[in-house]
Parts: sequence; structure tokens; C-alpha cells
Amino acid sequence: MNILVFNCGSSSLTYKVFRADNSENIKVTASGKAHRVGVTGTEPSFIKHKIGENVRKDIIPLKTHKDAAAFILKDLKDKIDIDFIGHRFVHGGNYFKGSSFVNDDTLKKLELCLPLAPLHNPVSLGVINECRRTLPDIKQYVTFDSAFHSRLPAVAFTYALPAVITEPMNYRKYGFHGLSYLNVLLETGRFLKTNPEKLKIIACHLGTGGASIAAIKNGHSIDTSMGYSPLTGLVMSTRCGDIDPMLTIYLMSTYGYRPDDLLDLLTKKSGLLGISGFSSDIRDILKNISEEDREQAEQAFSMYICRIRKYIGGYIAALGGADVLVFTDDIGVYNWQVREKVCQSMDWCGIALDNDANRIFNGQQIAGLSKENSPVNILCIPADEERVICLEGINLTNKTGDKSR
Amino acid sequence: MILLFDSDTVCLHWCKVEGENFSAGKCELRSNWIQAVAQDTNNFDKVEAIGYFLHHGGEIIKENTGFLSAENIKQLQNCVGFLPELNDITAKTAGYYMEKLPKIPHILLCDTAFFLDLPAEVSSYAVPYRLSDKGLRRYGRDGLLHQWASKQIKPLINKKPQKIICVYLDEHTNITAVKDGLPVESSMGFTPTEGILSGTSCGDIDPTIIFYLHSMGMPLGEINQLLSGQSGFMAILGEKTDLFDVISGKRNEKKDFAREIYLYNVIKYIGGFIPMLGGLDAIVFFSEKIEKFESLIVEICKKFQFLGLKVGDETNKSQQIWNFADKTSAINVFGMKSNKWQVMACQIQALLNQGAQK
Repeated sequence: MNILVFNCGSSSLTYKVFRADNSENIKVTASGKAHRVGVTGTEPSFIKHKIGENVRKDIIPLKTHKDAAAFILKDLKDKIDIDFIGHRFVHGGNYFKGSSFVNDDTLKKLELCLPLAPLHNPVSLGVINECRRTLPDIKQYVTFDSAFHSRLPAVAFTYALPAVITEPMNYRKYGFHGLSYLNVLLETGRFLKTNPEKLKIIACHLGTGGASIAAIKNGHSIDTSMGYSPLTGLVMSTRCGDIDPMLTIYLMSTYGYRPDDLLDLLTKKSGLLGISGFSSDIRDILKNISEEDREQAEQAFSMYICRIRKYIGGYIAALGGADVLVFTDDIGVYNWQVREKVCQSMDWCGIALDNDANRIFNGQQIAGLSKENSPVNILCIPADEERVICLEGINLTNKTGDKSR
Repeated sequence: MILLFDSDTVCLHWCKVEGENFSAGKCELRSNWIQAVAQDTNNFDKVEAIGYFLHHGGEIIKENTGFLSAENIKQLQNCVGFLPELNDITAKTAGYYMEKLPKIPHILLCDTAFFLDLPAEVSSYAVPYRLSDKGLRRYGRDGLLHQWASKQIKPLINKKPQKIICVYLDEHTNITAVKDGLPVESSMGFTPTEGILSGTSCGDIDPTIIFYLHSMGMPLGEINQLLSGQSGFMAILGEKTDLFDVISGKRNEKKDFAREIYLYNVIKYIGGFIPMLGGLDAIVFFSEKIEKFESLIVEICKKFQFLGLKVGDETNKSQQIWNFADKTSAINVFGMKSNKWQVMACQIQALLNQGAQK
């Protein structure tokens, strides 16, 4: 069967078509990415396709993700018989504990989830609706980034606020990057040739935008650094991560910050960008920097590393020791300096990185980077959200026995 | 005789120290409180020195114990804004007695000064650095006690550098990491609300919730009061409950949950502080009521068995500093009774002796 997977980024739309006979035998037969969706500027938006060996670039105005999806569907539907379409939805709240086929009931619940991730969820729903319009007979399913964390224990997800405050809005820790953590779990098991549910894993998803950490035990997360929103936890490219919550009240009441401006500042102008003052990209911060920027750049890098290490220590204690430490997503996979610093002087908990292997690792495929005698296995796993979305679809069809359509 | 002052929001507390004898009293903070205190202390003879406890010295007061003088009293007044409801009491008390008893030494004991030495990557928040002039940093609290605790156990650890985690079991649990006498981590941040949940404060939460509450019409003052005065154990249990009762009191489902979430956060903080230390030699627990927390300490320690921490069959209480660890344990665990007045008096005595030597 052929599964088409859509994955919405903030200004991009990735698609992949998988030819899947079963979960062991999956092949990408077509893929592409719409760039600069909804971005106004001097450069036009475009879609790059790779179908078989053919590569093509279409320059085309793309005001919304829905437009991009419409264009991609029009292009694909005559070339490939699509059996299922899978989507990624960032935040399923308390409504979804796992992946689900799209039907009237699901759509109603998806609508209810829109305010939980106002930047991401409406965009994904737009793409789902476009698929229903263009290919009404093809079954669709939706996967959730929050679902991997749906079994967090209450001690980890509870904010100690009065119930009259938390209950109406379901204020609690939800966590994000769940599809990436699911990929980590599956790949770790495959690479170490063992049942990953028997491992205690600490996974660092270090992206160029968002970043988070999860502590994984018995095949699901027991804690994670992002909270009700993706603002908390690690120092990110432009998000502040953990701060004293009172600091926000102080800035508003003492310095008269408007709430919207302050939230914008903490979300879009803080993190690496805020500390360094010149870039949100850790690669820029690590490059040879001018003398005047050096101090701030060093501070940004130290804070980024320090926060990751603090979480690793906290989660090792929560897990009672770890078997595997995983780095994934772009920064986790392509940045050896980050891995080296994070693992420095961590022998107290059995983390010993092979510095030579770490430096020459090219990030192309999963690899083990720990020293031979390191009690904790250190793995680097390239992120592949689309593949996980495809696997979730195969699981769903197996569960329902709906293999043919 | 040394006279000590400390305040909370309700009372100004004082303590007379004569050798090993401590006698304490308090005076409610009514409109004429300074006269009332003066009356209370009027008949004290031979006051040799007075110590004033300052809860928050911002980045202004850099020593945890220092002489006050006509020249630097201005600095104390400049600190009032950091924590008006408490610092103002300290500044007024010091001002009054410095004028009344100009010939004796007046000493300021600052509770945040210790943490000015936190490494920059720990003391800072990842907000735009142009906001740094607004004093946004991790100030920590209970600096005098944490420094005292780490010094007390120094002779018992034969390691260099010494890597210690200090856990203050009070109404508001406060955890720090101290490496070779200097602080490297602190659970309390810009305010004491950050960190571990307490009797009425929430501990770490997602700050976006504050923005949602505000956008739904809750005024900032009310949110402030909600997070610091109506959350924590009070929110979980529905009534004000102290730590000891949460840990050991009569059980019910909610209390078990409060205990569990408290333990979980303490364990996560201890673990989270080890990377900055680069390992762990000892955990020291201290409290005014340390005897009430023995079973809690043992339970916390059991979570660190994976690091080679072994709790002994019986706690050795023959010395002032209790020892919880087994001889074969890779990490030491100590327990101590703390007394804030005593720590303040020791600090003052040390400063006076130093002055005398000079």
C-alpha cells in the first residue's frame, strides 16, 4: 500500500509517499517540501519534488499550507495510487492519547484542540480539510506529538495550583516532540537489537527551533522538559525555557510590560538569540565570532549546555539510572561540540563519550558514540518524523484489520 | 550580649545571645512597632553588638556578614525595593538602633549574598541580555544557612574538590549545590517561588499559564498571591498543611499524592545539580526539626542507590552531625539540626574576632 504523509512546519510543508508492505519493509517512493509557505519577502515560495529519480522545482505562490497541500495533491494523484494519508498534529490535549483515523467525531475533537497550539494546530487541520476536499474517498489518519507523553505520571504532569484554576483549562504538563521520541524508541531497539521497552532512555531532541528532553521507561515517557506550552525546559533558539514564573509578573507590574509584548519577547526574542544578542543559531554562536560578541556568545553556549546537563541529571535520578542517552534532530545529530560538552565530566553516572568517534560522526545514519566501557550507551539518531507517521498508519490499519481499503 | 533581629511579614523577631544562651521574643508589626521593640529591648544591659537579618540584598550587598556604618547604611536603604515588605523592617530597625547606640558594632547579615558567586550560566535566565539592568537573575535564599551547612561538614569529607548538595528542610524546601565552598546551583531563583513546591507556593510551573490567567481578567496582584500564597500543598490538600504533616501525618489519598510529588521534585533537583558539581561526595540535610525528617531522608537516599549511595542499618546520632550512610557508601549523607539565631551569632562573633585581630 501507499501512504502519503504530510508534516507541517511553521513555514514549510514536507510530504513523503511510502510504499509499505509491512512495518519492516518501508520505502520512500516520492518526497518533497514546500518552502516559504505564507512568507512574504523578496524570494518566492517554491516546492521541490523528488519522485523516483526525478527532481523538480516549482516556483509558485503559496499563501497557506492548504495551498501547498492542494498543489502537491494535484501533482501526485495521477501518478500514485494513494491508499492512506497521514498527518501530524502537534497538540491533541486530553482528547487524543494515540493516533486516530479521521472521521466526523475526530474532526470535532481536532477543532477543540486548535487553541492548544494556535500556531500549529489550525495549519494541520487546514491540510486535512484540503485532503478531504480533493480526495474524499481516501482514508486519512492523524498522529499527535503529545500522545507519546499521554502516560506521564501525575507527579510529573501536575502543577501545584488550585484545582479551580487548573481544571477548567486543563493546565498541566503535556510535552511535545512525541513523534520524534517514538522514532528514538523504535530506532534504539532496532540498533541495540533489544526490546526498547526494557530500556531506561534519556532522549535529547535538539532542534534548530524547539528543543526538549524526555525520560523514557517501559516504552513511554515518564517526564519531559516542555510543559503546558513549548516555552519551558531547555534554552532554545528564541524561547527562554525555564524561568522563575514570578519574573513575568515582576516585569509587567514593575516595568509596565504589556502581556502580549512580554510573551512575544519570551517566545521569539529570548533563548540563544536573547543571550547572544546576534543569532538564534547555535552554529553561528560557535563560529569565530567578533571580539565584541564573544562574551555573550560564550554565555549563550554555556547556558544552552548547562540546562541540557541539568535535565539529564534530574532525569537520571528520576529513572534511577539510565541505559541509553540519545541525541536526535538537527543540532543533536550534526553538532559534535554540543554532544562533547554535554557529556563532559559525566562519568559519575556512567556517561562516557568516545570523543574521536563523536567528532568524525557525519550524522547520516544511526550510530553509537560511547566508549566501549561506558555503562550508558550514547546514540545519535537522525530524526525521521514522516517515517514514524507512516508506521503509526500501518499500526492503525493492522489494529482495525483495514488493510485494503 | 549580642542582640539579633529578623522579621517575617507579621512580626519582628529578636534574640538575646549570651554565650550559649539564646532567648527570643517577638513584636507584632503594628503602626508603632519600633517603639514597642525599643521598649522590649530597653532594659537589656551590655549590648555589645547588634545583628540585622536582611532577606534580600540584590546585587548591592555582596558580603553575607558585614559592618554597617553611617557611610554604607544608604546601601541597605537601596535594598528595600528588592523585597519591600521585609527589607523595609530591617532598614528601619537598623536605622533606629544605629542612632540610639552609635558606639557599638552594627552588623548586617544578608541571606542572598552567598549566591552572588553562582556561575553566570546558572545565575542568568535566557532572556534578552539588554534586560540585565532590571536585576533579573537567580538570587537564591537561605545563603547563610547553606554556607554554614557546607562548612560544618567540610572536615568530614576527605576529597578535593568537595562536591556537596545541601537540602534545607523548612516550610519552604531549598536545595543548593556547593563546590569547594562556593555555590554552583540553587533551586530558588529570582524569587523563592521557583524550585520545589512549598506549603503555599507552586514551585516550577509553565509561565504561559500566568498570561492565560491575566488575559481572562485576573489582575497581576491576584496571580502573584495565587502562586505564592494559595498553591503548593495548600492547593493539593485544600488546606494549609506543613511539610512535616504532609510527610508523616495521618494519611489519605491526597496527602500521599502531595508527599509523592514533593519527593519526586526533591529527587529531580538533587540529580539535576550533580552535573554542575561533576559528581557527588555528600548530601547534607538540615532543619530546625531534623529529627522529624529521618524517614524522609532515608527514602530520598534510597533513590540514589544507583550511584552507590548506601544507607546504613541505623543512623549514627552520637555526634551533632548525624550520619545516615553505610561505611561502604560511595556518597556520604549527613543530617544536622540548624538554628538560624545560632548561625547569625557565630557569623557575628567571627567578624568581631577578625576585627579585633586587625
